[in-house]
This record gives sequence, C-alpha cells and structure tokens, in this order.
Amino acid sequence: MEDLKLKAITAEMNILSRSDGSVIISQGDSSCIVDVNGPIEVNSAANIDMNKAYVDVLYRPKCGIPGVNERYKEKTIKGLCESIILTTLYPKTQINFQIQEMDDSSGIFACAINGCNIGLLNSGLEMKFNMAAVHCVLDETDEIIIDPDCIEEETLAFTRVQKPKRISGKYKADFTFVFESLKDSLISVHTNGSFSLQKYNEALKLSRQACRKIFDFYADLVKKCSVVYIKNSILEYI
Amino acid sequence: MEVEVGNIVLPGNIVKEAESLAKENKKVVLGNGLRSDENEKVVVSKSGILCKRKNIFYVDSYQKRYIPAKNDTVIGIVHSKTLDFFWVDINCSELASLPYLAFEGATKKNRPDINIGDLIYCKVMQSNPDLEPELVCVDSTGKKGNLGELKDGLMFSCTINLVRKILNEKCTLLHLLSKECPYEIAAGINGRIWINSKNINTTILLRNTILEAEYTPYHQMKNLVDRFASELTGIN
Repeated sequence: MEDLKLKAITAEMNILSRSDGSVIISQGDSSCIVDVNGPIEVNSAANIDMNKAYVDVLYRPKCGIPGVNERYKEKTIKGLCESIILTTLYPKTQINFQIQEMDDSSGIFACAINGCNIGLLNSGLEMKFNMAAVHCVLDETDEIIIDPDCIEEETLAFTRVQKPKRISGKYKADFTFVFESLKDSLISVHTNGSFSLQKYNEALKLSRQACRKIFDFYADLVKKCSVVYIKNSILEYI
Repeated sequence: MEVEVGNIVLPGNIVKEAESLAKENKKVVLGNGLRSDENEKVVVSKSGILCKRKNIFYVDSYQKRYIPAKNDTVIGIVHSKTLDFFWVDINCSELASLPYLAFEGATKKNRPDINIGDLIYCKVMQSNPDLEPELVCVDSTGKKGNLGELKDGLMFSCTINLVRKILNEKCTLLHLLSKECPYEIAAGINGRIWINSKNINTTILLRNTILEAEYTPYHQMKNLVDRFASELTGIN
C-alpha cells in the first residue's frame, strides 16, 4: 500500500452537557461541532412519519447566514444519516443534527460527515453501519492528493458575504467520497471541477484505501470512551 | 468484522458466538444494541462493550436519551391533565399517559391529588414505539409499594449509565452514604434521580457526590464517601 497520509484527526465526545450526543472534531485545520438530539417529538405536524424517524439537519457556517451551499450540505448529510440510522425503530419521532462550522481549510464537508457519525455513536441511536468521508483533490500536474491541507490564504480570509468556495487556481478538481464500513462501498460522492473518468477512478481507489484509517480512528475513539463511561459500571466485563 | 464477548464493538460488527449457539438449538436472547438481520446474522447496532449474561447478549453503551421499556421504574413530571389521564414527561420522545385509576385506592369519585409539575415515581406498563408509553403507580396486587408522588426533595437529571451504575449491586455508594447520613433516594432509569434528606445542604452535597460517582471506579467509592463525610461535618 502506498504511503497514504491523512490529516491528523482529533475528536472529543460529550462536549455539550445538554445534548444527547455531541462531538468536536478537527481534521487538520478544519473543525466543526456536531450535536445530535433524538429521538424527540416532531416539531411540525407535516414532518410526522408513521413508519420511521424524521431526520433534520442544520448546518451553520462560520460567519453569515446559511445559503445555498449550506442547504446542499444539509440535504446530503440528511440522506446519509437516514441511511445509516435504523430509523424504523423510532417511528413518529425526529432526530436533530446541528453542525457548527468552526474553521475551514479544505475538506470541511468530509469533516462534518465524520463528525455526524461520531455524534451518532455518542448518542446511542441504533445504526446499521458507520460511514467515513475522504476529501481529495486533483492538482494542476494531474496528481491526486488525499486530504490536502494547503489552501491559499485568500480563500481563508474572513468575509461577511458567503461566496461559493471556488477551488483555488492550484487545483483542477476536488472530490468528497463517503464509504460505509461493512464492505467499504461508496455511498455518496460530491465532486467539483473538471476531471477525466480515469482520474476519478484513481481518486476513488485511493480514497477507499484511506477510509480504513478513519474507521480505525472511530474504533479507537469508542474504545477510549467506553473505558471511561462504561467499563467500571458493568458486571461481567473481563 | 467479527467480535467476541468483552470486545469494544461498533455498528455493523457481527457476533458469531450468538449465531453458533442458536444453531445448536439453544435459546439466545438478543438485548440492547443487537439485532438479527435478514441473513440470520447477529449484527451490532450500537457502540460500546459486548456483554453476555447466561444466554443474554447485549451491548453496554453510553446513553442520555431514554427509550421506554416495559417494567422500568421511572421518574416523571406531570405535564398536563385531561379527563382520564395525567400526561407525564419521562424524558423520551413523547408524553406518557398515567390513568387516574392507576393509583392505590383511586376510584372514579376519589381522584388522586396530583397537580401539574409534580414528580411521580412510576412503572412503565406498556412500551410500544408506535403508541405512547403507559405508566402505573400500583403493582399487580393494587398496592402502591414505593411508587407514587415524590414530595419535597431534589430531582436532578443525569446520564442513564449513572443510574444503572448506582443501582448495580456491585456499587457500594448508596450503602456507604447511608452510614454517613440518613436520606431517601428514588432512581428512575430514565436518567432522573430524586433525593431527600433532613436539610437542603445535605441534599445538595448528596447530589454532587452522586454525580461525581459517574467517573469513579467501584474500588474508589470509599474515598468519595470519605470526602463526602468530611464535607458534611463542615456544613452542619
């Protein structure tokens, strides 16, 4: 296997005292807070589903009011969460996600998706499998870089007006792949820019190798938390 | 990925042991956080530690939100009253119903004297995800036992794990505390604990000690209670 280097991931569970599941996650310099609440009462009668839980996602940008880009992220994350939670176990209820973007230096979308997954693990909702998102770019020399950390300074500048984040001149395209944990199969993809099909497949292959590292990170995190929260409260554990 | 009893598990892991036991025609019970999928494989659906007691498999996981289950004793807050029911908030997704007649000695004419905002220690009679939970304040013989309204005292919320922990027979906390000062406690498995003692200072100190116990291993409970005792002599 090639030398796949992801940005350093750190996460801390249970940072909000009043929510059911919460996490602050940072991947390199991108970070966000995810808060999961559920199952709770559905807030509007139009959203009541008699057969499964209704999933609601709120994405707050670092500054300004949420725009079209944030709505797009909400919709994608909603679809992903609906597919990984066993929503049929919680009929007539709602599951709320709130994502607060803290800092974006490329790959915030992948960071938010990974955060949602850890938030779910923390909240104790029943899930089918885990998901992991990997961000990668195609640079001007047609080379694929997994999880890049360098974005030109001007795109990091603090602006009141929310512009769609254009890929800076250095990159031709960027991809965000989401994989599930059972067979590492692709469950969602988001691309931006122009690329050939061959390059897409190459990026997909590299990302699939990289997603294992994120799943390992989840396992590691759950292990650390379980030791603190659960281990000294059960009877027959070792 | 296959896991064994005692391992840290993640959703999607497969429990082979439960499957092979079932194949030998032994009875296997799948508890919290486990389900069998369409291929009759036992799949984990929560993160935590896989445990086994006799033939019951379950995942011990961290949780704050209560999901009603039959025969759980819970602490509810009366939210509203209708013709035949009290509607009680038990920290789950919807209000639970508590019939007027589910109290000791209650008849159509003799209604229990309970107002909105009161705390009630009750049992979950029925829990179906499609219906609202139903509560009772009597046991099967019609006696109230420990159930009923909780007067005075202090109620606080905590995680469900803490309630499970202090109710565990291995946990000596409540026993050790009772040697230091007399107090009353009602632990609802829905993440609410009610305590009462002779004065409010002691009650608050008890609350702080119980909340501190969440991250204290069993063998260190003695130290925790010693600290409680020295603080108790300070305030009284």
